[in-house]
Order: sequence, then structure tokens, then C-alpha cells
Amino acid sequence: MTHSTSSKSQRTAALLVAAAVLAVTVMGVRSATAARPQLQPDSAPARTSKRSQPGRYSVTGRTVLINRPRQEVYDFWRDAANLPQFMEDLESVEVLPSDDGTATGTKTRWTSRNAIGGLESVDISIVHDMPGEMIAWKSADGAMVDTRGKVTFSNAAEGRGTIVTAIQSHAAPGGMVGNALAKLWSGDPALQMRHALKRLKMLLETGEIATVGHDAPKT
Amino acid sequence: MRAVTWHGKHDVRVETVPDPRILNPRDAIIEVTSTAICGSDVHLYDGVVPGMQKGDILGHEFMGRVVEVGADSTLNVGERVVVPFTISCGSCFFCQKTQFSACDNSNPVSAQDATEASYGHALSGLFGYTHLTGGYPGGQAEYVRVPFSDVGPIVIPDGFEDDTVLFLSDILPTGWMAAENAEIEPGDTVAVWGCGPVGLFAIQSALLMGAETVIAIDHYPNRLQLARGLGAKIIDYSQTRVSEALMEMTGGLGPDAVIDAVGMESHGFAPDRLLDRAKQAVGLGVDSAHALREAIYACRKGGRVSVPGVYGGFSDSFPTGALMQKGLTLRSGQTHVQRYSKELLHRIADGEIDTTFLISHRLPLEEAATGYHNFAFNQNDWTKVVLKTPASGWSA
Ligand SMILES: [Zn+2]
Ligand SMILES: [Zn+2]
Repeated sequence: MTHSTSSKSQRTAALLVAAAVLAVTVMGVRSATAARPQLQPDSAPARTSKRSQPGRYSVTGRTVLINRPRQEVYDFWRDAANLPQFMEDLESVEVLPSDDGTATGTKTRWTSRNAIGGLESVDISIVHDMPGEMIAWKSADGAMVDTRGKVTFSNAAEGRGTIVTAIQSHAAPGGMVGNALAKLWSGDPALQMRHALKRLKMLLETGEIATVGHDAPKT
Repeated sequence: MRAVTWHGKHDVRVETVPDPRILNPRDAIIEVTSTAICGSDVHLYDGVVPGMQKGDILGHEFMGRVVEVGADSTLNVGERVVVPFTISCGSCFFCQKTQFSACDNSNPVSAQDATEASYGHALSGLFGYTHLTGGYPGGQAEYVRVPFSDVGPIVIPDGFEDDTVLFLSDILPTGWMAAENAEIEPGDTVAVWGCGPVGLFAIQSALLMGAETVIAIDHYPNRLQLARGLGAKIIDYSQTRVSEALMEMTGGLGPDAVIDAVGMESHGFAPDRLLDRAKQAVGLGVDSAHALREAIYACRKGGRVSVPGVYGGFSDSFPTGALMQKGLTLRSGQTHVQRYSKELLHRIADGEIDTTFLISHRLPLEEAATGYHNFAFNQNDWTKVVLKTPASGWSA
């Protein structure tokens, strides 16, 4: 994943560092004996850090526990035709021929309805596939949306099923047009991912998706 | 069909609404015969629970006949069923641990965001409650759609009158779980705040579980008499200093376990209650927790605190010091109804538990508004209201 930092955010970062140094200095005067311990990286995933991740991509991730065998969960996700069942914004997923002409499901076209009701498509390729363990994908070069993601499947503690973690990153929008396009395309990625994983869990654990027969409440 | 709908504070109506239909393979449609008004419906009626929308169909205590089933339902058309108020999938982590009211899969995904944000985890789906728990149309209606009908509904054999089994839907297992959460041991004294339906069933359950003494606390004479009739000692808090009385009645020890069967609309005249009420009035989501504070204060050192009473928001002046310093255990939660259905049906069949003593009024569904008004404002005489639909064949 590439990172590039604009000069504006460099200036902001410099100001923040200066403020932090000042704060530490003031605190140091108040309690000169309280040496601050060196921070060690903790066990939590980077996406849960309090510090915002600099760079061109905004990353969102979410983990869900699914009470089904790992291989079954992987197989369901790997079959591209299943994706619209739990990604509610997807209208359809079409399997495209691979470079060698076979349809292995590694090249797909995802079509979704945007906020103004039009259909938008983006081509997605699986870039890494570890059966039963992980699927990683990215959008085609030059696509309107620059997105990449992966989903991992691991065994939960005995009897608890499978831990499914999906991580998706979107390129930070370039300028006003890019911003608008990205919003039209993706809405709120964190919310979409959370909802998609919960729907996947419902579908695999119960065979259906809970509904009261109409759209989200207006609360 | 006809259904009881919510329109705002102290405004419920009986209206004609569209019939429910099968939406998912595990659904069934139930033709309701009997349905009760619950104390937690009164919280909705009083407008102290957020997430209601005009026109929502109320009711989570209901039973009736199966009239339609989805492809994966295990029910048969014509069967009589009582339906638990908690909607549970039967296969998630929580359902498999029999923590049915914590089911992960029954609250529609879009409705989960609100409680995930406010409580840290999304709540499960409930019938006839707020949109925080899915906004499922409730059972105070002629027909109800029941999701996961292969998991929840209790099939009732012939020979039981509706009124003898209806409360398996909520208040009987809720009272039972409240007593179970009190971890009663031989010789124990259990004090129960609130002689509403849940409190009375908690009293009955605590005695069945072997409590030496149960002390019931309320101020409505009729409700206290019902508690006495079950075998409890009683304290009328309008004429007695409760904490002092509990100490004197337990050999200076304090009750071994305390049960708060009152919840967020606690009455009383203590200063903490006035502050709670002032804040509730300005909509800060403050639970009036007077009974819970008093229960924690009274509980003996190392004792158990069981909270079946409904709370939704925050409470001020929660006695964390007393909880920790006295080494109390606190247990609470919406009832895992499905965990208790079979056992309690057996106890009813064996004549060990009678639930009909509670019912003070039976009304046709059409007169639901009368039932709500009196259940809310004349709590002394209206202890439990059962609404009867035309399909029940009941007449006054
Ligand atoms: Zn109830
Ligand atoms: Zn469940």
C-alpha cells in the first residue's frame, strides 16, 4: 500500500508535534519526577489506533464471529454470485473471463446503485487467494474507485466457529469531483462493512436475514 | 386486521392495519386469541422509552393458533402456541449458550446501529417494542408474524385454558429468572421490591426455589395482599421505613438476596427520586432507580442483587461503593424465555404454579385503550389486563 503525504498535512503534523512537545514540557515542569515510559506497540490492530493513519488510503475494518466452519464461510464468500446477498448496496456481481480466458472468479464486475439511483460498475480482481484463510482484492487500474480489501478467516476458540475480519481501504478522494464521486459510489464504508458482515452472519447462521419488511427506521 | 397502535404519550388506539405476511422461510403467522398488557408496555405508554414511531403495533405477551407457515417453520397450521417476547435464532453464539435474549441475529441489521452505539452491543429483536429492538409489529393484534417460529413458540397441548399458559410469553419466566438470579439457598430471606406481575411471579418462584422467607415491598394494598396470598411477608413503604424494617426482620443481617422488580419508573418519595423525575421530565434518559438503590443498600454483605426491572438509560447516584464494599453480586437482563418454557409449562401442568390469580381484568381487544389507561393509573385494582380477540370466542 502506498502512502503519500500532502504538504498541508505535513504542516498540520508539525504543528501537532509542536503542541505535543509544549504539553509535555508543561507537564514536565509540574511533575519533573514522573518520567513518561516509552510507548510500546500494543496487541491491537492498527486500524483501532487513536492516531489517525496518514496516507492516501482511509482504512476501515471490522470483525465478526460466525458460528459456522471456516471452510464453509470462505467458500460462501469466494463465490462472487453470493456477495449481493449480504452486501446490500450491490445490485449484481458478474464473473469476467480471466486473462487466460477461463472464468475462475478472480476477475469480477461489481455493479451497485449510487445515491441518485444510477448504476455504477467497478472491476475487481482477486489478487491473493488462500483457500479457507484469506481473499484479497483490488479495483482495476484506472477505475473510478480506487479500493482494495481483504477478508481473513480464522478459527475461533473451540466450538465458537470462525472469526471473519474484513479490511477495506479507499483512496482518499482527489479534489471536489473525486470527493463527490467517491461518496456516490461508496456512502459510508465503515457502516456498509459493518452491515455486510452482520448480514453474512445472519445468512450463514440462520439461513435468512432478519427483516420487518420495510427499510431502515427513520430514527 | 385490528391492532393496538401507539401514537404518543398516553395515546393508544385500536385501528385497522394491513395483515402481516410471511417474509422469511422460518416465519409463521399466528392468529392471536389472548394477549396481555405488560408493565413494560406502560413504559411505552408513558413515553419514557425512546425509539417508538406513530402507528407501531404494541404487545409482546400473546398466544394463538398457527394459520400460516414458511417453508422452514416446524410448526403446523392449527397448533396452539404461546410466543416468547424475545425473538431468537437458536443458532448464534448466545442462543447456543441459552442466552436467548442476547441473540445476535434477530434484530434487523439497520436497527442494530442505535443500540450498538449507546450500549456497546446491539440488542436482539423483541415483539411490539421500540425500533431499537427491531420495531417488530406486536401481538396486541388479530394476527402476528413470528420469525424463527421453529425456535420460539411453545406448542400448547389440548386441555389448557389460554389464561393458564399465556404468561409463559414473558412475566412468568421473567419472575422465575429473577429468582434464579438471586441464587437462593436454604434459609435465605429474599426481599422483592414491586408487587407488579413480575414481582409476584418472582415471589412465587423464590418460594418454590426454597427461600425460607420472602418479603414483598410495595404501597398498593391490593398488590400487597396478592403477595401475602402467595406466602410472602409484606412491607408497605408508605407507612414503614423499609431498610430498618428489613434489618429488624432478618435478625440484623439484611436480606440474603434482593430483587428489583420495579425498574425505571420507580415510585417513592425519597429525595433521589425527585431528582430522577426532574431529569426524566427534561428528557435526559435518566432512569429512576430509587428501588434499586434501596435494594442495594438493604442487601446483606456478600448478598445477591437481581434486577428484572426494566431500565433503558443512565441512573444517577448509583451506589457503587455499597456494591463493592459489601461484596454484592449483581445479575440482570432481559429474560431468556426459551430457556424456561418447557420446565414452566410442566410446573403449570402439575398444578405447582397457578398464574391466573394475577388477572384482574379481561377486555375485548377493541377496548385496549381502557385497559392501558387503568393499568397505568389504577395500579392498585388493575393488576393484569388480558385482551381477548374475536378469534378466542370469549365474551364478557
Ligand atoms: Zn412483558
Ligand atoms: Zn441467536
